[in-house]
Amino acid sequence: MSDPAALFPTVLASSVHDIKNSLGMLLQSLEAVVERVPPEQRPGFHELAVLQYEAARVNNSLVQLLALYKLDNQQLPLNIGYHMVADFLQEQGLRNQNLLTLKQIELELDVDDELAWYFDYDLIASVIDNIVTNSIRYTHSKLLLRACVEDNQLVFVVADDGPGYPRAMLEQSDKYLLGINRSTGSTGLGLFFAGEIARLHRHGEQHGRVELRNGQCLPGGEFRLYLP
Amino acid sequence: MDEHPTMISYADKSFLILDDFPEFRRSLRTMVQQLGAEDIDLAATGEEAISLCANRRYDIILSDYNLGEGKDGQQVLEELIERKLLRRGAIFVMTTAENSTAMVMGALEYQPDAYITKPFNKVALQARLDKLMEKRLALADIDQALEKNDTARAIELCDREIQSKSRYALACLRTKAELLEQEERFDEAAKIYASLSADRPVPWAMLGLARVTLGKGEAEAARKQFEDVIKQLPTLTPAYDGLAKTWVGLGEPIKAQQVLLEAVRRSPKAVLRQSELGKIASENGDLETATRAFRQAVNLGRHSIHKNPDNYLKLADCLVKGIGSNPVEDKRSSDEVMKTLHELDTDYKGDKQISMRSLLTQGSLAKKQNRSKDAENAAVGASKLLKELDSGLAPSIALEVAEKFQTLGKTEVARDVLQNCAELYSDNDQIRAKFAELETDSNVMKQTDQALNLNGLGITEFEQKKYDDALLHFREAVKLAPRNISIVLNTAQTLVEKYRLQPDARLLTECQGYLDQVRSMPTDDKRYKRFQGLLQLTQQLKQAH
Repeated sequence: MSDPAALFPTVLASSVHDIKNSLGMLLQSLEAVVERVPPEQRPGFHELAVLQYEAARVNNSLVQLLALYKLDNQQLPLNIGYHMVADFLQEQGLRNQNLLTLKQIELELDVDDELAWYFDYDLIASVIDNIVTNSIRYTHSKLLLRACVEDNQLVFVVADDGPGYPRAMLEQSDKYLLGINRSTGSTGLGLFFAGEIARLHRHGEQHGRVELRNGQCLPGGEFRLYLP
Repeated sequence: MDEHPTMISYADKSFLILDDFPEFRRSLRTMVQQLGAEDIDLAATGEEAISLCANRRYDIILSDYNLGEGKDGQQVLEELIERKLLRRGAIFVMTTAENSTAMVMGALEYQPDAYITKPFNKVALQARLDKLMEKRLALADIDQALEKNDTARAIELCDREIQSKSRYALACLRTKAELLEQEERFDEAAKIYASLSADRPVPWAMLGLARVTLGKGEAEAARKQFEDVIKQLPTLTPAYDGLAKTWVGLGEPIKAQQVLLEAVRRSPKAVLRQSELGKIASENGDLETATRAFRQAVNLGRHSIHKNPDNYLKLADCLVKGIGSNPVEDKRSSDEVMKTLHELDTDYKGDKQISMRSLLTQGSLAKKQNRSKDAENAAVGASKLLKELDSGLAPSIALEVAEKFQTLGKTEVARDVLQNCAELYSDNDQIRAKFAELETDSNVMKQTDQALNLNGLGITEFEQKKYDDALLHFREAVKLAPRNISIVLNTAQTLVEKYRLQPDARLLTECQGYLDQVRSMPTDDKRYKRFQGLLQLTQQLKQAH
């Protein structure tokens, strides 16, 4: 008989996997439910928004847990491809369209149509998706998704007009996993994940990184992901 | 955001939706209908999807990766490509419940047009499909050239995209590099791969570079490159296959086996890799690993296009070899041999070569169990089937078959098998060595050596376009080794070149005669395509004469 404690990580990973499948079905059905609500009734449909937001959050957390588990076991594959950044960002916006409508949040996309860059589509998508979901929670009325090139690096910006990141987070931006913040329930997992995924992207000696700011593009928080 | 800027219509497109969850099939169908599609088929299993694809060519296929029992989405894609059931311009999208990168890295050579992570909604799907349609439309000329196997034209069209720095430039660069590689223009391919992988770990470019280095015969450099790829991208399993192949080339089969074991641990589902591991482990004398690998190859292969009778036979052979350790194990092994061969006989009914080899293995088992009458019957049955075969045996199979006939006491038959094969493959060292063992008369080998020398001279002259001189040497060579495939094909090709300069019908008749001498070559021989090409060309020229 194997040691139960040694089996735990594997059992955990396969359970997470299972949960994720169910959650996928749940989210898919939820999208279908929203589609059935007449469009004019969607804005401000609070309960549906809560359902969709919370389900998305659980889904994101699971995606991150699975990825970090694999990263720890050197099983997280990295597939750097060359992608059209505008298409990529547009898709991230569209994936969240129903939630944005329900919560009456205006989404602005700002990216050059011809911009293309090297990155892992799936991994960066889960990073951005997670930050977007988070911003949807805190923002007041607006969300900005921007991509541009600065100093030969691709920069993804997710900005909102909410209250901004707490000071502690801005000051210790390299130590996101500070433990659970009891008032917000935030674990910093999302930012930790983003930092790890950014670091996997390299160009020569340069590695990707994450930066947090407040009140630059919009009055609220601003997440910046640099990919060399 | 509901109205979409592009004007792509899906009304005239045929869709196939493949998912094992009825709920998801329904939801996807609704989405696709909302995009305007009318012609939509649904399938719940890979098998069902493939039989649908055998009847009609779909424009767009949306397939889930995980399909429960049976084939998975990747295996469906592989089979559709291998069986040419997918048009070049068709779009195959893999839907996945989790991060798809693991799937990408495990199967770099058969990639869908896109992966899309579940859950997704209508607008996200539409955006993705629109982009894919735009891309196929923009690259339709290249697809057409590739469909016609017009490599030169395809490369030219790729160059156009690359020079204009279009949004598909990188995709075209990859296609171009792969085409150059196929044409064995290794230096040009290497240049592209190297430029793309110099400072970013782009998987296909890094892998391509190492592969090309190996193709150029620089095994030591290739080893370093493959090892570097694995260090940077440990989940890129095709890199392990390349490294194993390199180790074999460097004469280190034990290291090759270690590398493959690691790859199999990471990604246990690849049939071809399991069967490669089995072969190398057999050569290394590691019966246990070999047995396990061939067993896996058989089990995994059931649902795969890579199902291969060799794996069944090799598994049975390994099991037979292992018999003799202890009675309980032996009983289990012999049961598995019979079960494996029974499945093989059923699945490949009518294939005489397979039936013969299966009988030989049954004979070997009987001999090992001291059932001498059964062994004799099997050997007699097998030699009867041998006479009925309509094509020759490839060297590795001939060696195996001859060895079994010999063990079963049919030395004469073994000799015939080898002689037959040696005529077609007199330049194959293994066959020569084995044949020399059995054959006391070394005259045949001497003649072959002479023929190969002449063949070498002919090749040099052919390359210098001195066709008359080349023909002199080739004709001499072909007289000495009339069924040697390489020599015959070289002679035929020279005759065709000569005919183009001096259209004399007799040259074509002579050419046809030589080609007829190797007609029985195994169809899976690498040179079979060249043989067919020359045969067709000769017939065309004859008709036009």
